[in-house]
Amino acid sequence: MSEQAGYKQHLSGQIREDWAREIDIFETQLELRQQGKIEEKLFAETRLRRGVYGQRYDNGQRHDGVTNRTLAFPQRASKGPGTLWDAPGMMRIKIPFGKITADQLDVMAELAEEYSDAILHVTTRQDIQLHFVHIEDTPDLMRRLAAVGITTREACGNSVRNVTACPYAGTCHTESFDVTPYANAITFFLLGHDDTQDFGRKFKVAFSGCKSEPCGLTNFHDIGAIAVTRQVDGETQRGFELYVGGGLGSVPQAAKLLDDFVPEAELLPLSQAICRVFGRLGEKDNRSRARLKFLVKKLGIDEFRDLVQQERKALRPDPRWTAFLDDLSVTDERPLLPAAPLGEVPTDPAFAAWQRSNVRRQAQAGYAVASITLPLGDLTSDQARGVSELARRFTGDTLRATVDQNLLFRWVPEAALPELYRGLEALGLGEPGSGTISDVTACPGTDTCKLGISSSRGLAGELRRRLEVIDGELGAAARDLHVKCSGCFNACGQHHVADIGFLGVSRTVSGRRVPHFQLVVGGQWTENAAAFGLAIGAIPSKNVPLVTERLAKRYAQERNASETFRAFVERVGKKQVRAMLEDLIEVPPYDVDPSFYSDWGDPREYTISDIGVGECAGEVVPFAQMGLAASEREVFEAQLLLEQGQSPAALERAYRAMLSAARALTREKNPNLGEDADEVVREFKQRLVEPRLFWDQYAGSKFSHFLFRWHDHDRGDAGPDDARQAIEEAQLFVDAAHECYARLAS
Amino acid sequence: MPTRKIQVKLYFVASERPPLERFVPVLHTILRDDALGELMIDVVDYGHVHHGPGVVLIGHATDYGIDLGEGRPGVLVFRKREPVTGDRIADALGRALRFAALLARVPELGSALRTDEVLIRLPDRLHAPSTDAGFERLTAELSALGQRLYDAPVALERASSPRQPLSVRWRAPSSPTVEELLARLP
Ligand code: SF4
Repeated sequence: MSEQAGYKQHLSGQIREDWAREIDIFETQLELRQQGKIEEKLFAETRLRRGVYGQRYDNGQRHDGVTNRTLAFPQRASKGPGTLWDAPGMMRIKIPFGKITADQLDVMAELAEEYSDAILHVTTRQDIQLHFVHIEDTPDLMRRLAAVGITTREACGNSVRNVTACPYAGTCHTESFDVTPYANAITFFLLGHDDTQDFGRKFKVAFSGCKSEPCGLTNFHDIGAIAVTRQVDGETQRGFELYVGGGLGSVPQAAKLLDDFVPEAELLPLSQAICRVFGRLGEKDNRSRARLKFLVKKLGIDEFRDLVQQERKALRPDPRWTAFLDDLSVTDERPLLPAAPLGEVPTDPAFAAWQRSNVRRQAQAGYAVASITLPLGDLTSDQARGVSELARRFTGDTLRATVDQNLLFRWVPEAALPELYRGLEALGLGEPGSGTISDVTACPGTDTCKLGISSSRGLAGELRRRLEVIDGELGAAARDLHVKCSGCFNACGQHHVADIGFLGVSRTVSGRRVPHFQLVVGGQWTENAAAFGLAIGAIPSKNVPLVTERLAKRYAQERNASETFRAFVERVGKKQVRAMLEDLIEVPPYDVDPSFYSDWGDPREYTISDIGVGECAGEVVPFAQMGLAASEREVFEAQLLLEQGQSPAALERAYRAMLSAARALTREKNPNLGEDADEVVREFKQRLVEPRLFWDQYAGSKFSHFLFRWHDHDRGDAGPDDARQAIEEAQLFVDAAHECYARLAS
Repeated sequence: MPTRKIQVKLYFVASERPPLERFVPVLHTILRDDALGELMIDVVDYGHVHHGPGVVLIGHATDYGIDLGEGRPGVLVFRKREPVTGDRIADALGRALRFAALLARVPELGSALRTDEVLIRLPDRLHAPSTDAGFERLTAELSALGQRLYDAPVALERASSPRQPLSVRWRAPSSPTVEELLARLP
């Protein structure tokens, strides 16, 4: 285990009890996996659900430009199928709606320099990622995050991923209302919820404050909620236009309208009902068709809606559905400094350029939102500390991460903008161009992603350099184009909704692999990413910058007044756009120009022979199996407690192990089963023991009585003998539960 | 428990930003040729980040980088996880010097080092807090090594704020060659 196991003691009492326990459990699971006591697929999904993700070459294979080489990692154990224990991985830190406090940013800066490579990477879904992290460091890393209120639970795997929302929420001119408290409520309501544990794939939720702007990107999410209001009897009611089944990937699909007005009190239960329908009917075997979008397509939105409504009616009421409405101000940010207009505009042209592209006035007079342009979404630990200091000085603490991989300061008095700018400049973060053509978005691609086909980051870096140079020639409309790059068809760079988008593909020319990017044009970023772009053709990687420059210049020169890029592409026609680029589609022979046979930023001769198996899809592990694994782990923990002389705690843990197993099985029969121990025991007896499903050929119902007895027993003052007996019985009970599950599953 | 996490940085003679794109293929070659004798995994390029890690050859136990931190380019070695027997600082310094010697074989990189200044950083806040006491403990360890390498006392100064990882800068009265220093290492 990690040398820094000391953080468990060091941060004791500073972490929410349930989160501390979850992390302890994860640490135990690491140990059990190393001892071979957890099956690798199960462990893989377990770690993914804690945000611990694989990274390129973690199967121990890498092409060095000449040949495929085995990376001889010291430990041969695995942390998942084809994933070596010692290979470094990625840690995804879930940042609900991108909101980060200064203290949280400081801690992430520390984690990056201690466990990673001193770089914090902002993702296209408002997360922060650290790369090259060793799995044994992850429990402490999680503890340090938990101590500042961040959980990485369900950051990856087949779960509800980070809930995203407009980073301008609460400050915006066009919003119906601030969606932040709703995004916050749904985040913690669905986190770890029983009804979100049985998915065949990931599930993404996004909020937008209005329909017209792109900030929430609700059109390509599993659930997309757009804030709307209506007047009823002279009263303004808040609600959401709710969309379902949107998604990008290789088969992009626009979300369908489920309901044009979901009252705020119905948001959580209706979302829960959607999750239940997805958990029950979503594809589990064929991973490539397991997202909600396929289910919605298969059933049709009307049938899907009916099923959701039926499910909604059958839900057991939960006070959390509306409790959050009692205080919607919990997520409010209060400005540190009084509002003040900018007054005399400084003459510094650098400030003026930054202000033009990176500053947006808030709905609250005298305040502004200022964006930090992060190249490729990256910042160093030192920069992060500098940014957190600026946040403390100017904004009263918080920042937001954006889906275009930048950070925002909100509640900056306009008068303080010049000083804030100077502070950013001193950190090397004063670059203008946020949200413009040179602010290129990119997924990790071949740099670190196991599935990457082409170097999206290498390309984005090159595009930034080139587009900054021609920025002045383009004029306002072309300067505002969005360019986005994905390393493969999975579309994490969101290229479908860019004006000019690229996705990595590979082509073979005279027997050699050549990195290419498929060009996709005319995606619509506005109106919550309302439309997807058209594929034009594959471009050799090395020509992509020329293609981008040519398209941007042609648009600048030939657009009709106020014509969007999408409208321009539609008017000119796909065929003509392709004809414009024909000369750039050719690949020169290797001996004429070998540079075409390497990717951007990577001098190795290009190959895709060392591509790995992705973990985006996670492993489908049914709820019952996760529950049974949890019960085994609890038996193990009970043994440890007994060894430490803590008999009452050991007995309690052994009893809990039986209860977990009983609940996991009983939920197969009653998905509505709650967590109350009396209810679990009663239902277990009625649904599994009495019908002789939890039944041994020789011992009959004997093992179930272990649970019944300890449930009724006073467990408070157990001695070591009691504890030992309970542990032995728990082990037998869990074995019997596995047998029972096998029978139920068959 | 003493930390296993140790960084050593040696500065280039030339203070301007080096052409990182020239280092990238060299690092790939070092990896391919197994020239450092330990498990290396990949090369990453953070040249787009201001005063960042530059380009880094990521390893299992050690990272080797052309670092742009502090706005002063140099080589930075990060011992990350392996238990170190003997003098841990000397071990990390030795790796940095051997890495520098490999780079020096490609003169057009312009990676000549000055050896009269070394930054030692311990990115491990739990075991090496950035406090006066942490600094005192580290200086005791560094003084003896400095004396041995330069045959004269080295000046040690704290180079980190409490928010940064504990860092000490040593300044020596002379700038021996990389080979000379390597020969003097314990
Ligand atoms: S788009 Fe492909 S390469 Fe990029 S992060 Fe997603 S899976 Fe990886």
